[in-house]
Amino acid sequence: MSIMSYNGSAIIAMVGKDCVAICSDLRFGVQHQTLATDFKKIFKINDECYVGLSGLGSDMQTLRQRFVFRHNLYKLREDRNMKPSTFANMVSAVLYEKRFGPYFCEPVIAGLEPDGTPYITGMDLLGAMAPASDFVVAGDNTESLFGACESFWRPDMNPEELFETISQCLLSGVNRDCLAGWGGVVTVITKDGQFTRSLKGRMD
Amino acid sequence: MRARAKRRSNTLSTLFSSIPRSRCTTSGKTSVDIRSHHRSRRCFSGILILTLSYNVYWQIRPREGSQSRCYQKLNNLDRKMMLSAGPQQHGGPTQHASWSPYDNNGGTCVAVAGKDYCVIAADTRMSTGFNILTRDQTKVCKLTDKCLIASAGFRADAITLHKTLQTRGIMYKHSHNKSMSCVAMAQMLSNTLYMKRFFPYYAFNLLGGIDNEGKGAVYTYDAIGSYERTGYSCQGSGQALIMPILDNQLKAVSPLLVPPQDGATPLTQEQAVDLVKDCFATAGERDIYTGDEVEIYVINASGVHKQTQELKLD
Amino acid sequence: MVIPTEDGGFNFDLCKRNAFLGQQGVKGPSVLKTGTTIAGVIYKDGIVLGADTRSTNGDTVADKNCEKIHYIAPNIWCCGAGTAADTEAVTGMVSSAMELHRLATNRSSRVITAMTMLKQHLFKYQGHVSAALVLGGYDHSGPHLHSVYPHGSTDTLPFVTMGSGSLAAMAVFESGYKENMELEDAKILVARAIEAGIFNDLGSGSNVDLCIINKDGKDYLRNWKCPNERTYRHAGFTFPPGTTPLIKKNMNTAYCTSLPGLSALVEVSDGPEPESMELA
Repeated sequence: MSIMSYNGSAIIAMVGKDCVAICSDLRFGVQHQTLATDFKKIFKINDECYVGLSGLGSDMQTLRQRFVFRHNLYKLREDRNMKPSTFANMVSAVLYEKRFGPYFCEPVIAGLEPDGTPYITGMDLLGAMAPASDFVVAGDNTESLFGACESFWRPDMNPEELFETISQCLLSGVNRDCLAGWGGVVTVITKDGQFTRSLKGRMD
Repeated sequence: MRARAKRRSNTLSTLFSSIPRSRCTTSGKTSVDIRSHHRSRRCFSGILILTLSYNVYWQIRPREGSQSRCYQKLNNLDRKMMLSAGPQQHGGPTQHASWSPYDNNGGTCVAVAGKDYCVIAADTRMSTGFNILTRDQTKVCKLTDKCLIASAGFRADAITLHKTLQTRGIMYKHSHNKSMSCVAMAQMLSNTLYMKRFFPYYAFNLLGGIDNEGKGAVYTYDAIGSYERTGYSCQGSGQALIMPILDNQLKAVSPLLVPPQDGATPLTQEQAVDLVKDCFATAGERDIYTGDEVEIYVINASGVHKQTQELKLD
Repeated sequence: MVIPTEDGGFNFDLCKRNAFLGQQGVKGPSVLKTGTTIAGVIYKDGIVLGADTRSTNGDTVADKNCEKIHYIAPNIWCCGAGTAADTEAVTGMVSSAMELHRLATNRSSRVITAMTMLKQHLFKYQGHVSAALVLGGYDHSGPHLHSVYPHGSTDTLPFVTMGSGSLAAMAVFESGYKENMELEDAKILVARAIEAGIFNDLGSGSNVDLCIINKDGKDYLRNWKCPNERTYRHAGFTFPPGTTPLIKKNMNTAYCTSLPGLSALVEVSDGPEPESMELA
């Protein structure tokens, strides 16, 4: 049992045309025992930037606090929001600081840059960024998520198409994963605003 | 266990009533995971992990002077191999402690059953570690006119297994004056695998063909003979990548559906081949052990037809 | 709340906890590796560096088109293999130190400086910072090519390879390298070496990146060769709106505890015009 799949998680971020989407499953468990089915792993940093955290639940929440803290300090100093690429570099630095005693957490960052271009990046737990132009995944069973995304993603989707595609990828990806699932939540970010929907998934 | 599971799914009729019980699944990679990570409707198949079962043998191995029944049942060759492979015995043959009788040569197999056809496909890359051994090694073997087997995992074991099945198929034909049916072959494969319960073939098998009624049939196995008939299945290193695509596109016969739906996929033969090609392209993108070329066999009333599709070479 | 210090350097706070978890029998996590083939040669007028673009996490490809040729200085570039986070961080640290050094001294950077900084950092961490590097650049004393090993040792050679595909790439160099090659020949040789890694080493894959450095500057040829396009794509996996069953359509967007911007908290108004200072 790897520590990364102790609580179970599945996260995907995907790029569409002038929009990005980020989604997660809702399970929180201790190994095979499910404790909660409303455990959010996607956190809003600002209107144009969201972060999804997969891995160990406690580290997820600690990191969220540290990211929000640093984002707040940035805003006090600069009087503006961090853009997603800046935020990603900050996350990377926070993680790499603990290179030899890492947080067991793999973040996924999704957002829109100030000029409206979509930005998504995945990261390993040491903070190695892997920016992508299509999709990134994280969680305890990334292979399934990769498989679904690799087949179903296509370029230039509009927000509604993007929503359906990312939802299908998430639900298919967690179908055979006992440690993630139990419903999902999807947020789509466009330059005109964001919408969040919760998905009906298998509850077993 | 199985009976209990059935009773339960009958009594509870809500959508999610029949809980797919996890089974310890072989993940088809070098290390086989004890964490039951993938779901199956099968309730419990009592699977020990290959590598573990191998180690377990050494923990439960008979002490001097006492011979357990399982030990007696192992044939001589197995015993010899295990003796030479195991921890060094006092006065026994010297062997490096890390030596393993198994290797993983990677590769992926997919099979889809239709109303009157069956598609069974596998890539042709054979690798070990970070090396490609060959780009042109078939994983598929024709057992009868209506039945093919595809195996991923350890190539040497798969070849031996295919040879055994072929031989037995021929012997059956000679003594019964008819070819072995696909259903019979499926049962025989299970028996053959379970015969080596404590020193298994490290092969992950798919059996595809046409059954006695002319319907497509896919049988999926674990390494020690637990099997079931499904509408589609996937085995090997790209299993986790491909399974969600098949689940998504072939919902009608998904083993995840409750109540279970029996039967074949609704796709036409061309659509099924198209889907299989995309599955392999996807696995080739993300799985380092899948690539080079995919061989696709279609079995239908007119016989067995082979086609190939290029994959990435990296 | 602990205010983060700005000291820099590694933080070992979680080591004890993680070691304890390890004792409890939980397996450690896997990290992104760049399985990698990287290579470099000296040609007639400078350096050609090359890299593949696959990064792996175990048996799966995590990134199909990552960048492995990192910036050190305008005239110095560095290919990285090993743990992705380490190669990024170590090249990033050295590049910022070199920038400051240039600003302080008003002189262009030397390759030997970068190499020394890299090897001193890596040696200090005794191989635990697992970065295997091919460092190339052109400075006032001409072209330089080095390989830097994770433990801090270095080589200075006319052609070098690193990473899991280094043997495949070195085989090409050993058979095809000539002294004083023309640029085009050097590019083709490096690309062939990288392709040998891409096709024969499972840890390497996708595309070929090249970087040429000579006295006229650098030429970064991203995805110079793309020999691994997807071979087949299903015509239409489309999901019309309404495919996915929903529980709730319009939810409050994921909760947010971050502060509103400073300008939202305070009112900024223009005060009266300040009186001009009296100058006696």
